Amino acid sequence: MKSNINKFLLCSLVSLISFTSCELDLVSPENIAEENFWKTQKDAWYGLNAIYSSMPAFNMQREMECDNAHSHKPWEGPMEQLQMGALSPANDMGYDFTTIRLVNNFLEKIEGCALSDELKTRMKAEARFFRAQQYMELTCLFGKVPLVTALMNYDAPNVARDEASKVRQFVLDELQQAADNLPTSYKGGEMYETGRITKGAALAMRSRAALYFGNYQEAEKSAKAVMDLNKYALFTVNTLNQAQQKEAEEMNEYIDFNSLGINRDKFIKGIFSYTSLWHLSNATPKNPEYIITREYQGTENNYDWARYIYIRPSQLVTGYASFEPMHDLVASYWDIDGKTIRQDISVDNRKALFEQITSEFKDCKDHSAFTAKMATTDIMKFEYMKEFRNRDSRLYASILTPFKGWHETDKGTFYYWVRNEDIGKNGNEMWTGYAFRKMVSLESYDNWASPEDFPVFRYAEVLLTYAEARTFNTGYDSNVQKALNEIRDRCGMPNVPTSFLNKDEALSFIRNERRIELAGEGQRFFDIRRYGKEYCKKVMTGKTYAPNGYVVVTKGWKDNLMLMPIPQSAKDNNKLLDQNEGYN
Amino acid sequence: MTNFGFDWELFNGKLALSSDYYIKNTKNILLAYNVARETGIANSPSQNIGKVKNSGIEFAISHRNKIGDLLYSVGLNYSYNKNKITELGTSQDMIYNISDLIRGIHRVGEPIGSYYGYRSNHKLYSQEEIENKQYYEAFGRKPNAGDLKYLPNRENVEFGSSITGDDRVVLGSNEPTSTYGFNVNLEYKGFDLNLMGQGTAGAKIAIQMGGMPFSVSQSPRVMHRDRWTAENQNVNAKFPRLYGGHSLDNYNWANFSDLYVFNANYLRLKTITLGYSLPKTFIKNINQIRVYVTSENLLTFKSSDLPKDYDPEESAGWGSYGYGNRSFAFGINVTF
Repeated sequence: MKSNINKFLLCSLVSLISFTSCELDLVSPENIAEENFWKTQKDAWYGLNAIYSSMPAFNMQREMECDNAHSHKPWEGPMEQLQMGALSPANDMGYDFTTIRLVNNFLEKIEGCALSDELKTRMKAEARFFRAQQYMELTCLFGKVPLVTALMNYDAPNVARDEASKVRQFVLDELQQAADNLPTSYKGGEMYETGRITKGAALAMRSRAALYFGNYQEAEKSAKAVMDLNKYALFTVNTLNQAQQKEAEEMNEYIDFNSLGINRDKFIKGIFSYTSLWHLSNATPKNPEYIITREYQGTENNYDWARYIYIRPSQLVTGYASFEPMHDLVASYWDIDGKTIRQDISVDNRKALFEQITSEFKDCKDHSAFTAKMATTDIMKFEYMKEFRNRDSRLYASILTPFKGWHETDKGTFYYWVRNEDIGKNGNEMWTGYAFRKMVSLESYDNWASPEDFPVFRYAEVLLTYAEARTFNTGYDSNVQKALNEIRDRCGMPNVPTSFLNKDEALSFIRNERRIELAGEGQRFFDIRRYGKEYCKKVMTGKTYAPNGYVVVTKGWKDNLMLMPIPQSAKDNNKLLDQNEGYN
Repeated sequence: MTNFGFDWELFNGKLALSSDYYIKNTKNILLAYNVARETGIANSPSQNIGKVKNSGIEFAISHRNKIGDLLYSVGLNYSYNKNKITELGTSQDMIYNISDLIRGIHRVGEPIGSYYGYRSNHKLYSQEEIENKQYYEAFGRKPNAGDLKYLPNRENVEFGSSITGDDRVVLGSNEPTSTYGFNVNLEYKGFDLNLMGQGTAGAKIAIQMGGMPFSVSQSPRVMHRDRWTAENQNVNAKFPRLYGGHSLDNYNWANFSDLYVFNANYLRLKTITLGYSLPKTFIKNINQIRVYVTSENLLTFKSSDLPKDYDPEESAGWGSYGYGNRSFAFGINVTF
């Protein structure tokens, strides 16, 4: 038990660091034992902070398990295996109860701590938020799961799975009660640190949970409740720095501003308002769009490991190219009119066009030679570039397409060079022909990590959830359009259409808008399941290609993939666990 | 502990024999408790819950003698040990990870260090078996010719149905049953020769790298030439067919099976030393000069089952790329 306490303390300390910036109140682990812990208000504070270490963070895994992204590195996890359409109980897709234990333990032990009823109620609500969030994920992944709400001993009797409907009701009830007992904001200082879970956070998570569960009434209700707090807004920038201005110039080549009658200033600011919301100086709980924030100190113990080196191609200073956006996602971005999905050109056609443009650069010996040649080449004379002209501003903000410039990073002037000899061969370059730009750190901490906080929940998601749920419940009305137009205003895109032929048309429009706005943020894995087996089969079947015709992945679908397998290792230690349909 | 033994010395100590028979029960063996995932306990707490019975014989014989200027001694030792778990408290069938792929099990009646996984008996599917639908599905996949033939361990499993976690079996243990060794010492005039050898039999070793190219995109090794191919459809080949690139078929071997388990029997010439001491009269004021050459791991005889470049003294896991450190040394001892 002692080692558990030590571990628990380590977690507390890590969390503690993220809350206090100057005064480190460190207690040597050997001075804490279970018998004399859980007595004071401070002990409760330590215990609660330990739970904050379960805060989700940037996580690309679920995006690579659907039709948005890909990893060509099977050792990073069974993402490609899932995309290809078969999992087995050897795969553990997240059957994890460690947060639930932390919370159950906290809820039991805080009763023995001396603190005010008011503070106790609030702290319990914070803890219950994390337990409900974990159960939301568990029931979305596995359907039925055992609902454990009290501390289980290591040798406790085995527990069977509870009905999904029971677990889902529990999640919605708990998040509602958490919201009822949490403040809308914190004043700061010990016990009241900004960045803690607020009423808005609990309601937002409740809207996500209800939407995932297909409970559109509750999803609309909770999303509306967040909007009615009048606390959150979408992030915008008003001025561009030098590197951004240089890129803005380049956008003249990509967008026919004049002939299409596009407001250039609004469009350009839209790109940078969207992409900058993740950048270091804006990544803080103070950002009006950040409803839930994973905070980092940027110290050797406290950083984000993925948003610099794992998500970059190696040509961008350094990178492993472990997470790569797929053409499926690129193709989903609207035309610049904000409502048309462009007819995709054929794979063979694209391959021929790509060969044409890459042969122009075949004599470039290295990246700097490529950069030099880019300065004197009119790439838009090549038909290949047509695919990337006059598209949704968020395509340029989210994804590096071949030959696109991006000058804000530590690389300086940069154009993305996609070469035949890298695709399918060079593990540290993307094999899809595209790289993420959204969420990617501009610079590193200690050459590989990154320190910026991460928005676990953005206000944009609340607006999208409200729009989708309300359309489902009552139709595509002016309230829906108002919410969607907030998103469109921020990214510099035109207003959404004022009407659709029918409700299904409106819903599929909103779903694609959701896919674009939240690309890479981990929603789509759950969204496509919510849209149903037929939808999944449609988007998860067929080959995805790189621009040169290389087969990135052959997607496959089986209906059992609606739920994940209960891992064999969990079944080995709990004989009461039954398996989900279609797994052996 | 029960123990019977005898020690004999015969012919003025020229021949020594010793033998032992023992039964040893060890209790309170520290093992990680089987903790259900739902408890939220990430690392299983270790508890004194295991009881293990070791029984076996030990036998040693040595002989030394002097014939003229030749002084020699030889020794042989052999032991046989049977290891069996007799009790595990309330925590039965403790399955644990030896590596990310390899699984071990503590089970009453089986030795400590047992492997636990799917059984194929190293047989592969033939084209006819696939065409006649005489196959079992495994891990959500219908097999192809040349794929590993995972076998059910349950009764009356019909073709076409799926292999499940209940079909896993004990695939041997990494505890050897036999341990043996020898040593030889010869001295003749100024020359001396020493050989020391050791080995084990009965142990199995699970090596993940043995199957690596079959699970994820790693390069195959020389030993993987012995596999099923379209041109040579050998269902008795040591390895199943290889699928290139990123294919779902590659995951057919991503579960621990006897494909990864090898016989680890070996006998190794651990050290050999040849020396020569110069006559005392050779140099004044120096008592003795001895020059010698020595080698470690000069010769290894091992099960043909094991990959050529695998050191049998390695433990289970990812495996290493080496023969064991083979060294040669030359030296001079000077005594003043």
